[in-house]
Amino acid sequence: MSLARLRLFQLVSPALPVGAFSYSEGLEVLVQAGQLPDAASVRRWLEAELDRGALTIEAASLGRLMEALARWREAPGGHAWQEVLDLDSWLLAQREAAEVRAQQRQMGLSLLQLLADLGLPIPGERSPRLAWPAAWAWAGLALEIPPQELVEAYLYGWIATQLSAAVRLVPLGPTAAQRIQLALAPAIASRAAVLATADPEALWSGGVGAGLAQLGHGELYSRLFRS
Amino acid sequence: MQLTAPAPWRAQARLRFETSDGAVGATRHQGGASAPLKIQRAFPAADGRCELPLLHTGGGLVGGDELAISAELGAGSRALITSVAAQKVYGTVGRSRRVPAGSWTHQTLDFRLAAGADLEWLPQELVVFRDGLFQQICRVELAEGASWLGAEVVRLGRSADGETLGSGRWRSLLQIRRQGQWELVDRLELGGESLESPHGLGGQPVFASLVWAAPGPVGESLLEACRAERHGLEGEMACGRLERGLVARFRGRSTQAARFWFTRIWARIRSERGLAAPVLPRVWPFQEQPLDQDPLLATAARSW
Repeated sequence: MSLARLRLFQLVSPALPVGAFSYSEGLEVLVQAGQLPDAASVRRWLEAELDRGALTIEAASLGRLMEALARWREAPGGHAWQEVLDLDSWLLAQREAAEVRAQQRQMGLSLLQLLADLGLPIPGERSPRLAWPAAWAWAGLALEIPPQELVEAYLYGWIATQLSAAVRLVPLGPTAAQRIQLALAPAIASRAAVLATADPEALWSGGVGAGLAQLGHGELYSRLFRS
Repeated sequence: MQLTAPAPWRAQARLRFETSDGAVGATRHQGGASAPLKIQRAFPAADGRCELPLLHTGGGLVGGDELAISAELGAGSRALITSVAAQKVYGTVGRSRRVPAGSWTHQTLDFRLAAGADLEWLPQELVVFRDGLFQQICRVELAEGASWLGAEVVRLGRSADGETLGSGRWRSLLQIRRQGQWELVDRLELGGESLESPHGLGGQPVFASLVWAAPGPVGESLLEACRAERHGLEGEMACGRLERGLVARFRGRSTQAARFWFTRIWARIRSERGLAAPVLPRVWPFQEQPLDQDPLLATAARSW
C-alpha cells in the first residue's frame, strides 16, 4: 500500500511534466473581467466546479475507464479498447471550448509519453492518443492506485493547478492559495467518495458560466495561458 | 392558483422528410402527431427547404407531461422545424400534497439525418415558470455530409414580473453523433445554486445555446464574423469551434438579444454554405428585423 501511495504522490506532484501549469481553463478571462477579485471568489468558483462542473462527470468516469482499460490489458483483442476510445471521446465532446479540448489532448499525450519514458506499459496499439481523464485512469492502473484514491487525486490535482494559475493571475498570494487547498480537502474527499461510484451518465453540469469563460479565452488580446 | 393538477399529456410527433428527385428537388414531409401536438401546414421555402411549424395546443406543459418529437431526413433533404408559440412550463414543486417534490416534464427529440441532409431546429423560446421542472433529451445522428443547426433559448422564471425559478430546474442533454463519433455532448442543468453563481447563470434569467454540427471543420473567419454579430446586443456571448461546426452561448436578461444574435449567426452559416439567406418563419410573432441593424448585412436584410 505504501508503494502505491508514494506513486500517487508522484502523479499529483506539480513537478509531473504534463504542462498543466500553462492552462487556466477560463480563469484568465474571469480575472481580466474582474469577476474573481479576491480569495473568497476564487474559492467559491472552485467549490462550484467541484459541486456541479464538467470536472465531476470526468471524475465519475475514471472508474469505468480503469475497468475498461483493465479488461483491455487482460484481453487486448476484445471490445474493451473500443469502449475506452468511446468514453474518451464522449468526455472530450463535453468540453465546448476548443482550447480546453486541446489542453486535455496535450496533457493526456504527455502523461502517456512520460509513462513510456519511465518504462511503464502504455495502452492500446501503437502511439495511443487518450485525453487527460483516460490517460489519468491508465496511469492509476499502471501504478496500481485504488480507484477512489485516483478520483480524489484527480480532483485535488485540478484544484492545485487552478490555484497555481490563480496565484499568477489574481492578487492571491501563495499562502492564501494553500489556505484554500487545505479548506477544500473535506469537500474533495466527500465528492470523491460520491463520484467514485456515481454513474457519469446521470450527472449534469451547471457550469454554463465556466463554459462562457472558456469559450471567451480565445478572444483575449493578451494572455499568459493556453486556455 | 391551481387547485387540482390536470392529467398529464403524452404526445408525439413523427416526421419524415424526403426529396422526390435526389438532392435538387423540393423536400416534402409526411408524418403524424398526437394531441396536443399538431403539425401545421408545411411551407415550401424558395430553396426547396420544407418549413414545418409544430403547434402545441395544450397552452403549456405541466409536471408529468411527456412530449416526443422525432424526425428522419432522407438523403439530401432540407427542413426547418419550428414551433408556433413559446412553450410554457408551469410550476410543480410544492404544488401538490400528493407529490410535494413535483413531477418533471419530459421532452425527447430524436433527429436522424441521412447523407447530405440538412435540418434547422429553431423552436421558439421556452419559459420555465417558478418551481417548474423541465428535462429535454435531444439525440442527433448524422450521416456523412449532413448538417444540423439547433438554437434554443430558455427563460428561467417570468423575470419580467420579478419571478425567479425558485425550486424549479431545467435540464438539457444534447448529444450529437456522426457515424458513431461523438461531436458534442452537452449535459446542462440549471437550478438551485447554479442560478446565482457566476460559474452558472450568474443571476441572469436567460440562457441560450446555438450548435451547428457542420459537415466539416469551420474556418476562423466564420467564427470572427459570428463574434462581430454581437455588436449592439446586451448580454454575455461567446462562441467557439467544434471539431466540425461551432457552438455559441448566451447568458443575459433579454431573449430578444439571444434571438437576434442567433438569427445573424444563422444567416452567416447559410451564407457560408452557399444557401439562400434565411427568411424568418411566418409563424414567428415577432415584428422584428434582427438583420436590419447590422450594416454589414444590409443587403441581405433588404430582401426580407
